[in-house]
Order: sequence, then C-alpha cells, then structure tokens
Amino acid sequence: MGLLTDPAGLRGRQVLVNNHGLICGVLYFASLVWFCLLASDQVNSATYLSENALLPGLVVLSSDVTTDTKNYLKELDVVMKESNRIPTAWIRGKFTQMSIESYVHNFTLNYPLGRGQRFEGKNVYGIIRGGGSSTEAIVLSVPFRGDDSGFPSTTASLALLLAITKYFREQKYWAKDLIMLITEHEQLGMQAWLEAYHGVTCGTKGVLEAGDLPARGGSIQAALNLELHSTKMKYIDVKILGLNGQLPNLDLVNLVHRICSKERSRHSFGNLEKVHNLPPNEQYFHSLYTMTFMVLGQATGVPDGNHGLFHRFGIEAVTMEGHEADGNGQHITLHHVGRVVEGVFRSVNNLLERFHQSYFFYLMTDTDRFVSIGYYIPCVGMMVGALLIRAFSLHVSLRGQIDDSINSKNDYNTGGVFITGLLCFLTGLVVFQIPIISTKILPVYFNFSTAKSVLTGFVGISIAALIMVEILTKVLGPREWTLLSIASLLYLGTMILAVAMSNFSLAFLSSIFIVPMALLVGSKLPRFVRTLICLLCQPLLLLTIVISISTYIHFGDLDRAVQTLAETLVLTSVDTLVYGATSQVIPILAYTPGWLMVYVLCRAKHVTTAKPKKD
Amino acid sequence: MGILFQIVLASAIRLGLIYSQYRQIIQDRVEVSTILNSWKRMTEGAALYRHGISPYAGDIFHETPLALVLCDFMIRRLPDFIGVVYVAVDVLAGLTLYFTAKSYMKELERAQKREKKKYAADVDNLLLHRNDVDTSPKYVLAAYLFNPYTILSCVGFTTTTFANLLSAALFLTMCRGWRLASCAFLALSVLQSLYPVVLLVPLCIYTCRDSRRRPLAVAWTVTAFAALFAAALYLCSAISGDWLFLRSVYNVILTVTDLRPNIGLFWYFFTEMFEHFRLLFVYSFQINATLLYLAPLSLRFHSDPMLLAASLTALVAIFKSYPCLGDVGFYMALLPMWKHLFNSKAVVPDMQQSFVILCALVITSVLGPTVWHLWIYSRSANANFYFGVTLAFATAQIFLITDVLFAYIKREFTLANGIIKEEDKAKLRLSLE
Repeated sequence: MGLLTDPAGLRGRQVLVNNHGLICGVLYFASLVWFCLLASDQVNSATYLSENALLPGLVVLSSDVTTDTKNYLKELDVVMKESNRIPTAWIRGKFTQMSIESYVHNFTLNYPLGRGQRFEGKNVYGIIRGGGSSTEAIVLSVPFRGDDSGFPSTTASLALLLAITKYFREQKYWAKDLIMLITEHEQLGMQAWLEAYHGVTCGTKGVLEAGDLPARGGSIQAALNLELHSTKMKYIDVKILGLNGQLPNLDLVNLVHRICSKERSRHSFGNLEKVHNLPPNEQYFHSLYTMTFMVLGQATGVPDGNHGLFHRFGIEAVTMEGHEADGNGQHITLHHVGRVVEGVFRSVNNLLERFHQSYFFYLMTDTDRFVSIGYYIPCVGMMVGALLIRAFSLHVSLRGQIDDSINSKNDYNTGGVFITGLLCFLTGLVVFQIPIISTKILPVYFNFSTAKSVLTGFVGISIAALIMVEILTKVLGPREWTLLSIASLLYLGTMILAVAMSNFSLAFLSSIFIVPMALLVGSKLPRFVRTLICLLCQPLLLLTIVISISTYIHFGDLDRAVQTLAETLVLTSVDTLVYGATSQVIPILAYTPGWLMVYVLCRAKHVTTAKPKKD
Repeated sequence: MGILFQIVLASAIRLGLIYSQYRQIIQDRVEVSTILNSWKRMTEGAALYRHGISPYAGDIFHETPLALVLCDFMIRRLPDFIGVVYVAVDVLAGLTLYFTAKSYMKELERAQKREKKKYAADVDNLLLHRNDVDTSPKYVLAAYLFNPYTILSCVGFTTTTFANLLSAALFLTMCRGWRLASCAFLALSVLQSLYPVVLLVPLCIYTCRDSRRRPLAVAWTVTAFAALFAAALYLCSAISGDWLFLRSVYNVILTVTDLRPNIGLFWYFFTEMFEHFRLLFVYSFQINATLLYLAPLSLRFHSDPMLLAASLTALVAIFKSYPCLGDVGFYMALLPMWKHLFNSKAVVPDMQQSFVILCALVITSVLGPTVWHLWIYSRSANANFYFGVTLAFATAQIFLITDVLFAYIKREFTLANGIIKEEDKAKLRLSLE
C-alpha cells in the first residue's frame, strides 16, 4: 500500500513527468526493436506438442490413393465439362457407392450492398459415423472451383477427398464422426455450412440465409481444408490465419508440420520452407521475413483459406495448399498428401479432450519455431505505456496548474470536452452506417456502381467530419483542452490494448502510426506541422496510403490504387455484414472517434485559465 | 436549469438505448445481469407465478415475493412502458442522491462551523467552501445519471435499479434523521439482497448521535429495523404462501450455489477449490464481504457516518457474492460528496493514484468483454483471463475507496495539526488505524 500511503506521493514521479517526452520516445523505439528481436532464435522457441493424446506418427499409415485418385480425376474431367456448378449428383453418387450417408445443403446470399441481388449455392457433405456415441467429429473440406473461377483449380483435392473417404470408410478404428465436405463459392459456402451446422447467424440477419442441415455429426474438434492445385506438387503450404486474426491451436499446426516431415513431403509456412543449418544471420532474416508475412496477413483480419472460418466456432482448423510443381523434378503426389491427411486424422481421432493444451496466441517465425504471447505482448505494452505515461504527465501537470487558494475557479472545460467526445463517438456511429446508406441512395440518384458509391460515401463523410471539427472548434472558441488530450490518449491506449487481445498484429501495426501521431500532436511543434501529421493518420487516408503501397509493390504502378481502394472498402463492408468480421468495426468504431479527438486538439485554440501559483 | 437538462439528457440516453438493438446485448452481459437481478429470470418467475406454479420450486428465480408481485403487476398492466418505468426509477434514484448530498453538505458545513475553533492556523484552503457545498450535489447527480455502469444497469432492466432507489432513499432518510423511514428502507434493502444489513451500524450512529440516552436510541433503531424486517418477511410468506423463498433468495446469496462468472471474486475461487473446503471458504468470503471491515471502519469513521455508510456500500459492492455494475455505479455516484477532500494540494498533492485508478477502471471495463468474447465464443482464451481482468477491476475499486478514506484521514490530521512541512513528509506515515 506504499503507493497510496506515502504522503510525498509516488516516488520518482517528477522524473517521469519531466522527462516524459524522452521516455515515451524510448518506449516507442524499444517496442520496434523488441519486435525485430522476436525473430532471433535466442528469443523465439522451437515448437513442441503439448497434447500427449495426439501421438503424431505413432501408427502405421497404410492408405494408398494412387489408383482411386486417377479414376476420380478422369471422371471429374468429364463431369466438370458439363457445368461450372458443383456436381452434387455425381459426388453424392460416389458417396452412396461407398455406402456413406450424404446430403446437399442449399444456401442463399442476399447481397447487402446491391439492390435485391441474390446468389445461390450448394454444399455437399457425407458423414462416416464413428464408433461409440459419436459426439465428436472431424471435418475434411475442399472448396469446389469451377473452370470459371478466378482461383487455381482444386480438382485434385476433390479427387483426393473422395479416394481417402473410400479408404477411411473401410477402417474400423474411428472414434469420431468424419465429415467430408465440399463447399461452393469459396468462403461463402463454408460460412453458410458452419452457420447451418451450429444454428447461428454470425453476420447481419437476413444477409446470408444458411438454412438448416438434414444431418449432423458430433461437435467438431478439428478441420482440415485441402486446396491442391495439381497432382504434382512442389510443396504443401500450411495456412493458419483465420477471420479477425484468430489462430488455430498451435498443437494442430505442429501436428500437420510434423506429419508432413515424417511423410517426407516438403512443407512450408507462408510459402517459406524451413532451411536447415542456415548461418545465424541468414536464419534471422529468414525468420523475420516469415514473421512479418504472418503479421501483415493477420492484421488484415481476412482468413487466407476456408479454414479461417472454423476458428470462431472454437474449431481448430488449417488449410493445406499444394502448389503446382514446375518441371519434372522431385515432387509430392496425391499419395503423399493422402498419407498426411490419414496421419493427421488418426492423431486427432485419438484426442480425449478438445485442443486446449497449447498456445492460441503466437507468431510463427518458421515452420517449427514460434513466439508466444508472453514475448510479443510487451511490444504493444510499450506502445500503450508511452501513451499512458504522456496522459499521466498531462494529468499531473493539470493538477500542478490549479490555483490552490480557496476562492479560485479552476475551469477544466469539462462540459466542452464531454460534448466534443460525444460528437466524436456519434460521428463514428454514423460512419459505420455509411456503406449501407450510400449504396441505398447514390446508385438511385447518380447511377453509381456499388464500389463508387461506397467510396464516395466514405470520402464524403470524412470531409464532413473535418468540417464539423472546424465548426466545433470555432464555436467553442479558445478553451482549456488538457482533459480532452488525456481522454484521447487513454482512449487510444485502451483500444490498442483491447484489439491486441484478439489481433496482436493489427494493434501493433496500427500503433506504429497512432502512437507518434498522438504524442506529436501534444508537442510544441508548429500547429501546421501537427495538423499535417494528424491528417496523414486520417483513417481513410491511412488506408489509401497502405493500399497504394501494396498495389505499387504488386503491380509496379499506382493506376489501380483508387479502384483497389474502393473494392477494399466494399469487401470489408460485405465481410462485416456476412461474416461478422471486425475488419471495418475496429477502424471505424475504435479508431475514428479517437482520431477525431486528436484532430480537435490540433485545430482547437488552447488556453490555460489557471496559471501556476507564483511563490 | 442545469439539473433539468441533466435529467432530460440522461433519460434520452437511457431511452435511446432501451429502444435500440443493443438492449438485448446489454441485458445478456454477465457484468450487468447476475442470477439475482436479471430481468429474464424476473419475467420467467412472473410467468410461473401467473400459471400458479411456485417460482421458488426451481433454481431460476431468486427475487423476493414482494418483487415478484410488483414485477407481475408491471408486466401485466404496463407491458409497453417497462422501459419508461426503469428510466423514471433511475432518475428518481439520482434525484434522491442529489438531495442526500445537499443535506449532507449542510451537515458538513454545520460541523465545520462547530469545530472551527479547534483547527490549526494555516488550513484555510482545506476548509469546506460555499463552492463545494453548491457543486457537489450536482456532481453527485451527474455521476449517477451519466455513469456508464448505472446506464447499462438501467438499460439491462436489472432489478438493481430498484435496489439503488431503495439505497438512495435509505441514505436520504438517514441523513435527514428520519428514523422510522430509514429503518423501513433498510429493511426493504436487506430483504432484497441481505448485504445492506451492515448499514445498520451507520444508521444507529446517525440516530443516537444527538440523543442523550444513546443505548436506548440504538436499541430503538435496531428493534424498529428488526420489527419491520420481520413484517416484510411475513408479508413475503403471505404472498407466496410458504417459506420456500428463503432458500431461493438468501441461501443462494449466502452459500453461493451458482458459480456463473460475474465481476465478483467468488465464482473463480469456488470453482477451483476442493469441495470439502467449501464451507470454510464460504464463511471466510462472506465475513470478508460484511463483518471484516465493519468494526475497524466504524471505530475510525464514527464521526462521519455518511462516509462510513458509503465505504461499507462500496466494499459490499466489491466483495459480495453476486455483484454487478449497477452496484458499482451506485457507490461511485456517492463519492463526489467528498470532492472537497481533494481540493487542496496539502492533502492530495497530485492525484496520481486517481489517474492510475481511472486507467485501471477504463482498461478493465473494455478488456472484460473482450476476453469474455475470446473465452466463451472464440475459445482461445480461458477463465483465467476473465478472472484476471475482474480481479484488476476489484483492485482498482479498492484503491478508489482507500484513496478517499486516506484523503479523509489526512485532511482530518492536517486540520488538527496544520499543514505538513516538506521536510517532515518523509518521517510521517498514514495508516487506517
């Protein structure tokens, strides 16, 4: 209780307050340095399996799908020439031949940003009932892609799924139900099937009509999604990033990597394979690259495969993507992948409890190395620490300013700060409704396309918000704004911390911009410079800058930047409405009010009514 | 004018939230609704009652029969105006607190006039000033009406809103010295949640303070309370027809049979411990919530029973078996009554504690729902995360209370002994003894 009882107050406080600028700067750069250090082998650790029941690679694998896959591929070639839709009848026929119950699941998407457009799709699934009470299940899924799909074909994985199903059906050791699922329309089909399986709606009601399933298995423990682009593959990439940056349990990721190694299939994370015995400095850059890849991917909150939608239901899932091999060199065949699938399924089949032993919060630095939450959270901690120390010193100085005599009136401008804060939050709420409002109004009056209307809407509201701040600061006149400064710092810090709990990457990457902005705005720089810094961090402008850089890196020019920006805005809006993604919620509801508060601080005229006592 | 504006704005915020899509989400939050105060359980109980089934036969309903009858009346007669009733009750509670603060400030002013001769020479800045007397009731009202915790509690239709009104009425009548009325409100508060029974001590102090025969006055108050409480219990049994409600209402509070997570400290310990230690821990936790601080605080703060009552309310809100945000909001609204403690830098040099507490409260309030989501929906976090956050929340609240109490003691000391000199600071130590 020394903190409270010491009559002199917190010791060392004055040091903290007097040097807070330096301390905040040091914390900021320490955070960046610490992040870079994470890639070092001295900091990150080797992966290991926590869950004993998995017993990876202990059983003798005996599947051989070579002949079956060849036959299925031949038949599929014929079937797929007839139609681009999912061949439900053919797949169900195959399942029936194996004497497996199979069902078709229909779903409808009412496109939320258009005028009454509807899309329909179908999923097919078969269930191998396990022995015992069948209260648990494992899912093997394949996204079906017709010839008109923009993505690489997944026909090989469909053939593998059927062949391995045939093999699995003949085995007697299954303790859990096996669900073989073929989905249509990429993530939409997967989301619809999962919603129907669990009887919930994740996005806005009435957008994705998932309907009901005719049959279910037990509660799903794990899922494996296969995206094999060819029968001859160079390596298998294990993808883990899920919706809103959620990750599968590290045990499952390790299991897949481990069984791949055992089956001598080349495997990678982020398309980077493990290179053994690299010199330390090369290993460091290799790790840093892998980790940065993961951080950049996780920050978007967009799943990099169908597995990503399982996570929010508490199901551990990964995607195995097989990349086509060029040339006739050494390659992986469907036989290898089949063995890996068999190995993973046999291990998961052994599970006695759901995955809970290993980490849920980690960053991969290699296929077999990771950084756990305890090591990476200090990065965000230091960023937030910088903001809070700044707020603390402002708070202390505010107390120091007050006139101690009894007749003084200390005006903290509480009312003005309250109104300003309320306005900032209300603006955030309005911005959140912009995609729906603008796509309802603009296409009718100006005949805009969806992308154009959403972009116009966001640009419009951004300018409106800036004008609002100008009017507000003019109306309120010169005032004491320290309380708003404290509020904005505390608010931004809290939001970064809250976002870091679920999506570290997003919190860290955004704090790289937000923290200097919030700190510099309160500094003694000329107002013009401060406004410029603040404007550069305007949410929409920040997004534009990020997208311009990424298009420049991908295409080498900036021609498509505006188009990409509009499309991104539409996509995130749709994701929010369909999947309940937070990719738009966080920037708009968490960041925008905070940014507006900081902008008010830039534009407002400061005045300190209470002068320090002269004695 | 200012008060009217506050009331209108607060009602607008509450009604806006009640008739928005967020009401259901707020109502279902564990931080807002517990098994004791949830509106869902209330409607369930009322439905059972209407069908002639005793709601106390099952394990869903934990309100008193009195509350059941009132709620049943509300659901049958005013089904469309329940939100309005809740807002009205909340605003009324705020106003009651406003008048409580007003009369308490007058009381302080009188006390200051009486004691002024005994004060040291240089303490003018520490004295209660006209400005404090005028503003602090307004701050109390604002702190009640715009406290997010109270707003959430009201919007979530928790019965804590009614409990808050009863407590506010108790504080008002106690401060005004209306013995019988305050005993009645105390009896009703105790009837609903048992814990306010600790407030009998400040109430006794209030009633016996000006009396010549103190033991008699105390006996009078205790008897009045006991008689009223017994009458209320009898009324309850008459309504429900049997005494089964005792088990559902009080047994659940005392033995903590329901371990659903909430912002309290009970659930985690009781899920973790071995079953045969249960009784021991029930005793120690309940004593901690009620009796442990009662004696020392009563001895130390008997000169200011209002502060005693407020700190006991706060401690109960932190340590009781099923706390909710409505309780937290209530005692926080009382704190501006001691705003004047923080006026002078001689008592509170720089308020760094209050900043730390503010940060902790804000951060835990945001992180709580976040880790709850990660634990319950995403299944990537676990119970420890949520408990850690609620523990930090409780710690911040304890710091808040001790901060006020320490400021009070230090002001008292400074008033008597003059402002502490810079060079003496290192030698002195504050303690609650």
